[in-house]
Amino acid sequence: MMKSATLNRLITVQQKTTSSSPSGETIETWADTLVDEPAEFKPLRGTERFALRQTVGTSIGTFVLRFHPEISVLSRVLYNNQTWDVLDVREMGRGESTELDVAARSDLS
Amino acid sequence: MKDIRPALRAFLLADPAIAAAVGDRVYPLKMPQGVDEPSIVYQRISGQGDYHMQGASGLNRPRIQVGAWAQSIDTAAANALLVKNRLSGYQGDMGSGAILVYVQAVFFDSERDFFDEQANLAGTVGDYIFNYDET
Repeated sequence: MMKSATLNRLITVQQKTTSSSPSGETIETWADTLVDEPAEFKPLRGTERFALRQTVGTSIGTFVLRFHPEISVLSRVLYNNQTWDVLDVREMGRGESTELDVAARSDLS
Repeated sequence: MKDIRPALRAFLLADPAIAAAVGDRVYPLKMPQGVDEPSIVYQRISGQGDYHMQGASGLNRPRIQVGAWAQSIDTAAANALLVKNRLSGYQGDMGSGAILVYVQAVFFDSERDFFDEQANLAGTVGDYIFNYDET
């Protein structure tokens, strides 16, 4: 059974709609689907490495929230002034809760 | 000996269209950490000296890569075109005062696109051959 006392963070979950530019580039438009949703956040070990042209920091963690089957890896989460990409979604128990593995750039303010 | 890099940066930023697109974000070799706004990164790939029978001619012919980076592929491509408009075929002074360099010619050579998944940045990078007087 999920303990609501551990859901001590508020997150916003967004879903995207897409369109195309004349070159064919996908333009993503994000809209809120859950606002101030209570969640637990479990931070994991982050990384920092040099990518093609700059050093990029990455924060990694897991959000635990009430069961929301509509959330998928195409969703994203706004929390703590960071945009978190959803890497994996797990149903815990039988429709008991949803776990989201997420990653965000930690070097952007 | 003169360093082409400060002159190149000043020359790019003196273009109103480039300055409007990237502000002052023109960097050598790499973007600073924490920047994801449209930027230009330049990198010297190679440099060729030039000699005559009495010694060095003073001409330097480096290949310099100038890349436009942005979150949007279209923005990167558009900013790369601004750079190409500015540099390709240019002849004359770059920079001013202590960083002034006289450039005999800039030749556009080739270009390619990149995507950096970790930084989530797209890049359009062009190679330019500079011929400049380094003395």
